[in-house]
Amino acid sequence: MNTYKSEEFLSASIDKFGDAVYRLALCRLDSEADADDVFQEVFLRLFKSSTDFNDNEHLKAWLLRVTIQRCNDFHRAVNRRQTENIDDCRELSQNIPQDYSELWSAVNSLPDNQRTAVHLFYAEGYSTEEIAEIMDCQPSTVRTWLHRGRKELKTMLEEDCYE
Amino acid sequence: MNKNNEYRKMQENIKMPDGLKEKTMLAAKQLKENDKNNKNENTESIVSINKARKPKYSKLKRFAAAAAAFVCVVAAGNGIFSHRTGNTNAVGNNNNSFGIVAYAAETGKIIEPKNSRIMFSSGDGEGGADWGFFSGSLFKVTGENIKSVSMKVNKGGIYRQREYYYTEEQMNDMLKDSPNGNIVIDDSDTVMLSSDSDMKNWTADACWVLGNNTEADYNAEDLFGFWIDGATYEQLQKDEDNDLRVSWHKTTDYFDGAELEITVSFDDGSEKTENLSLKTGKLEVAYDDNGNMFYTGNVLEDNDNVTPYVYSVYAEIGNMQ
Repeated sequence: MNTYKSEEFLSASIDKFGDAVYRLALCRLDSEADADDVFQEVFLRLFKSSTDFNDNEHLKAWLLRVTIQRCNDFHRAVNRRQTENIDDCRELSQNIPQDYSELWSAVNSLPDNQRTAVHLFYAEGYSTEEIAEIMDCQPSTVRTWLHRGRKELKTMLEEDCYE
Repeated sequence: MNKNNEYRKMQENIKMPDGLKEKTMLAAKQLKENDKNNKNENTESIVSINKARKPKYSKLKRFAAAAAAFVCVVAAGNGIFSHRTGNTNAVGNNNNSFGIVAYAAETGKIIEPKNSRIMFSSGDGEGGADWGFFSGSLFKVTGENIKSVSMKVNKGGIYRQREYYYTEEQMNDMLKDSPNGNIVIDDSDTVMLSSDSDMKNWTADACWVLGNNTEADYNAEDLFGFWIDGATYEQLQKDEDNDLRVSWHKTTDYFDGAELEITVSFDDGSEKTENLSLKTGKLEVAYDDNGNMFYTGNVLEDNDNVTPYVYSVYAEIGNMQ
């Protein structure tokens, strides 16, 4: 039989980092239904994980890394989003204030890696080195993604929306 | 966009939906219960309790770069980098010399060998299933009157790296000309980009895979690093538990036990060979008064969880032939 983390640990982890996991999943998938799925998978994976976490930062980084991987899997699924986008847009409007819809669309039009780097840097406040650990790449690569992401956003948004 | 930004303000409005925690906790309980009852249902079937549709999952093609650290080698001691022949191993012509030093690209510093042992910097590498793993652990061949260099390694391969420098404007032009974001310089296999903090000045590290048995004309500016092919790298990165350290160590450990032979040919026709036995482990690090990390030259016991270290590659230097 597998060894599981305690339910108390799982509950506390969701309370502490559930919003961060959900935000990242939503940013990557642009669909609340899919973000729900990824959220559950990530925390069930944590429940089954044998990893001993040194501290909360280690735990958070682990959760975000697994979230990215699960989102990558979703993107490889067959043409799902093409048939679901209409409903997803309606769902998202409940969470995203109208004032931000343009920004949301612009960020979501970035390629996956750029979008993830931008999200972790600006929404979660990670440094490029920390993002590199979470995204399993080098800091120089993260800096490249951020550079390209900013450039793309500049062409899509008015200056005062993001500077 | 600074960190007190509109994007963050937007994200602060986003919370996990009501009831999602409860669903997840319920799924966890069911998972545990099923396991207790020896049911062979996997995690994903339980996760799907509130979703009729589920995607098929594929194995991840993980994109990575391990901060595996590698070596620096040396046939001679101090001063190899400045090409002072008196400090290198002379052979044939009195002015002939040959040395190998590790190069820490992140600091631009040389790591000197100690007691016939060289420690490689963790470096700035890059990896991907399609193009393989460029470790970023670099070394240079140094010396006088060297005409060509040949290298053989019995695990993985060697790549060559050259640095190019660009302004922000030049970089933007290059990016404009590479719509997929894949910059290529002189048919390079990959290019790694980095910049200063305000992104005004850019460095492009272009890499070419040379393979496991290669010979090339000598260029004192060339850097060399250790490489793993994409398929092998992907296998190494299949880490079911997703722990950063586990996948990092697995990639690094690939080079444990590898033998590297480096031979230089001098202008006068004579040759010299250096043999390196690669190993991996916890390499002790310390910090100077300015907070800069450096390798002490000590390899720690596996169970030492107190002393600061970088898990990396080092090499024992064999006898000159």
